[in-house]
Amino acid sequence: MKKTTAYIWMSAMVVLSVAIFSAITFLDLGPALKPIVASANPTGGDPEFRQSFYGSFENPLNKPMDVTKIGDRIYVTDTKNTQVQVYDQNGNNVLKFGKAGTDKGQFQFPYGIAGDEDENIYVADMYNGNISIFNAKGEFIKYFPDKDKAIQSPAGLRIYDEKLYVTDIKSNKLLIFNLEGKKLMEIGSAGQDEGKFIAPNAVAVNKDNHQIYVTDSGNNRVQVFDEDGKFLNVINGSKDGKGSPLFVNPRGVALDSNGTVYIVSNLSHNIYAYDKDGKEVQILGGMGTENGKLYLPNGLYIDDRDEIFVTDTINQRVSVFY
Amino acid sequence: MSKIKIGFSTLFALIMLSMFAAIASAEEPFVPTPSNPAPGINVGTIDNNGNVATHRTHGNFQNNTNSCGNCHSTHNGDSATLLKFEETESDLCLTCHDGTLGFYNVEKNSGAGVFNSTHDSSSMHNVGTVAISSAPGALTPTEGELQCSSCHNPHGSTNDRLLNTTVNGKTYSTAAIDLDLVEDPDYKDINLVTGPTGLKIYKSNGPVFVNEDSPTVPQRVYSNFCSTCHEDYLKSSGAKRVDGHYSHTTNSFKAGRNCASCHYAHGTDITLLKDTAGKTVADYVKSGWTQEKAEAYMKDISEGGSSIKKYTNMTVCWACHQSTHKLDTPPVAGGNYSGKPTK
Repeated sequence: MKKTTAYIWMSAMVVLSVAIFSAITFLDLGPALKPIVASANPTGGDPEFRQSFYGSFENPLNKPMDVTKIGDRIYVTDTKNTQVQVYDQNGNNVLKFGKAGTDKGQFQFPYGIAGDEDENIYVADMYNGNISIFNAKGEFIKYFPDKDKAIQSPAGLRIYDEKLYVTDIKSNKLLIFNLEGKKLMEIGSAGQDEGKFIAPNAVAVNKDNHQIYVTDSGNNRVQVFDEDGKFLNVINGSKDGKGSPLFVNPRGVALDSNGTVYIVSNLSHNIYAYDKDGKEVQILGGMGTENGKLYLPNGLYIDDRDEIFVTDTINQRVSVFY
Repeated sequence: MSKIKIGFSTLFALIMLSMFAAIASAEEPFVPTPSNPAPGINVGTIDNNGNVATHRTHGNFQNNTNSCGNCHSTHNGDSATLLKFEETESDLCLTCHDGTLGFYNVEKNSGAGVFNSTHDSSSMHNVGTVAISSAPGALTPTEGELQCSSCHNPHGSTNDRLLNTTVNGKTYSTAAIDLDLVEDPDYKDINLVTGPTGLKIYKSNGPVFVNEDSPTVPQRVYSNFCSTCHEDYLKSSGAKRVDGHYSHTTNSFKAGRNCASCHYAHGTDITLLKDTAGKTVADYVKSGWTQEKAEAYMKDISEGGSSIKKYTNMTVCWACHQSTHKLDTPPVAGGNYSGKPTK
C-alpha cells in the first residue's frame, strides 16, 4: 500500500471517530445508545454492581423508597422530598414532579411506583391513601379510580398485563384491579397464618407462570400465590420456608427472566436471590456506603434486560446491578 | 522535703482509694436475670403491666443474628458503647417507624405527639440535630446529641414504649414512667393472633399522672424523666430556679401538674394543638369552619415557637384555671371546661 493511501485511511478514521463521538456528545445520544450496546453485548454470569444514580448535587434523593422503569427512563419515589425524580439511563436527572400536600399532584409519602403501556406513571401515597396518575411529562391526570374504595394506605405497586397490583398496609391485603379501577381480587387479612399478612410492603408477578409474590414484612417472609390467589409457599431464607426467617424486615421483591426471585432484606442490607427451585443463588449488597454496598435498601425493580435497580435509602441513591 | 511530698501523695492516694471503695461498696452489684441479662439490655419479655412475654420485637435476637452491626462496630466505634453512624440513628428507627410496618408510626399523631415539620406551628425534639446540653433549663454541661435512644432503649426495656430509666446519665427511677396503655382496637386482628409470645400493639392515652408515694413502689414522676435534661425546670410551687426566676410547679405528681400536662414528648404541630375548650382544627372543620379559618385561629404566635405544647399559645393556662376563675367568653359547644386538661 502506498504511503499516501495509508495516510488517507488513517485521517478518515480520525475524522469519523471525532464525528461519531461529537454527535453522541452534542446530540446527547448516550442514553439512547446504551440499551442497544447492552443488548448487542449481553453480560453473562451473576449480576454485579454497575452504577449508582444520585441525581444532581443540588437535589439529592432523600429516602428513596421505590423505583421502576417506564420506557427507557428510571422513576424513583423521592419520599422525604415528597416528589418523584426521573433519570435517563446514564443517571442524569431529567425531570422532577410533585410537592408536599394532600391535593392533586401532591404527596405526603410517595411510595410504590409503576407505569402502564401508555407510559403513564402511577404513584401510591401511603399517607394520602390514594394512587395518583401522571403523564410522561409529570402532569397530574387523575387519581386511580378505586371504585370500591378499597385502598387505604397503599405501599407496593406494580402493573402487569393491564392489571394493577397494590399492597395495603392498613388492611394488610394485596388488592388487584383492572386499569379501569374495578377490583378483581384481594388476598389476605391481618395475621401470621398462611395467606395472611402483617404490613405487606411489595408485590411482584412472575410473567411466565403468573405467580404472585407478596413481601409480608411484619412476618419476615415472602408469600407466593397462584394467579387465582391460592397460597402456594413461603420464602423466608430457611429450607422450604419452614424454619425461622433469615430476612429482617423484607421489602422490595422482583423476578428476572429466569424466574429467579430477588428479595430485599432491609435491616440486613442485602438482596437475596433464589432460583426457581428455591435454592439461594446469590447475595448482593451488604451494609456499607461504598459502591455495591447498601444501607437500609428498600424498593426493587428488574427490567426486561434483567437489570436490577434498588433504592438505597441512607446512601441516598439508586444502585444498578446486572 | 521529699519525705513530706511522699507523705502527701500517699495520703492523697489513700483518700482516693477509700473514696473509691466507699462508692464501689455503696453500688449494688448487678444481678442478671433472664429478662435483664446485662445492665441496659432487656430481652423485652416484660410489658408495662409486669406481664411476661408480650413484647419481643426489640431485644430478642436470633442465634445467627447480624443485627448488632446495624449500630455497633466491634473495633471502630465512635463512642465507648461502640456506636457507629450516630448521625443516621433516627433514620434507622424510621425505617420501620415511618408507617411502613403499619403501627407505631412516629410521623403520625399519637399520644406522644408527632415528628413532622411540614405543618404550621410545628416544634419537636429534633433528634439527631440538637445537643442535649441545649435543653432549656440544662445546668450540667453534657456532651452528646439528642437521639431516639436518649429516651428509648433499642435493646428493649421493662415497659412497652421502651422508655429508659436512665436518661442523660441520670437514673430517675428504677421503673419507667407510667403510660395509660390499652390494646389498640385498630389492630385487633393482629393482637388476637400474636398470642402471649408475640407482638401486642398498644395505644397510649398519655402518661398516668397518679404515682404512689410509698416505699414499695418506685417513685416515677413524669417530670423527673424530663428533668434529666431540663434540670432547672423541675420545681415546686414558689421555688426559685437557679437563675432567680420562678416557675410554675412541675412536680406535683398527685394532681398531675407536670410536663406532660402541657407538652408532648415527641413534637407538636397545628393538627395537634388544642384551644382552651380542648378542640382541634379538625373539630372546627367538622363544625363547619374552613380549613384556612381553623388554622388561622389555631396558629401559635408565641415568639419562641410552639414549644412542643399540647395547647396553642397560652390557652393551657385557662384549660386548668377556669373552674375557680370563670371568664365570660361564650363557651364552645361540647368543649371541656372542667378545669382538667383534655388528654
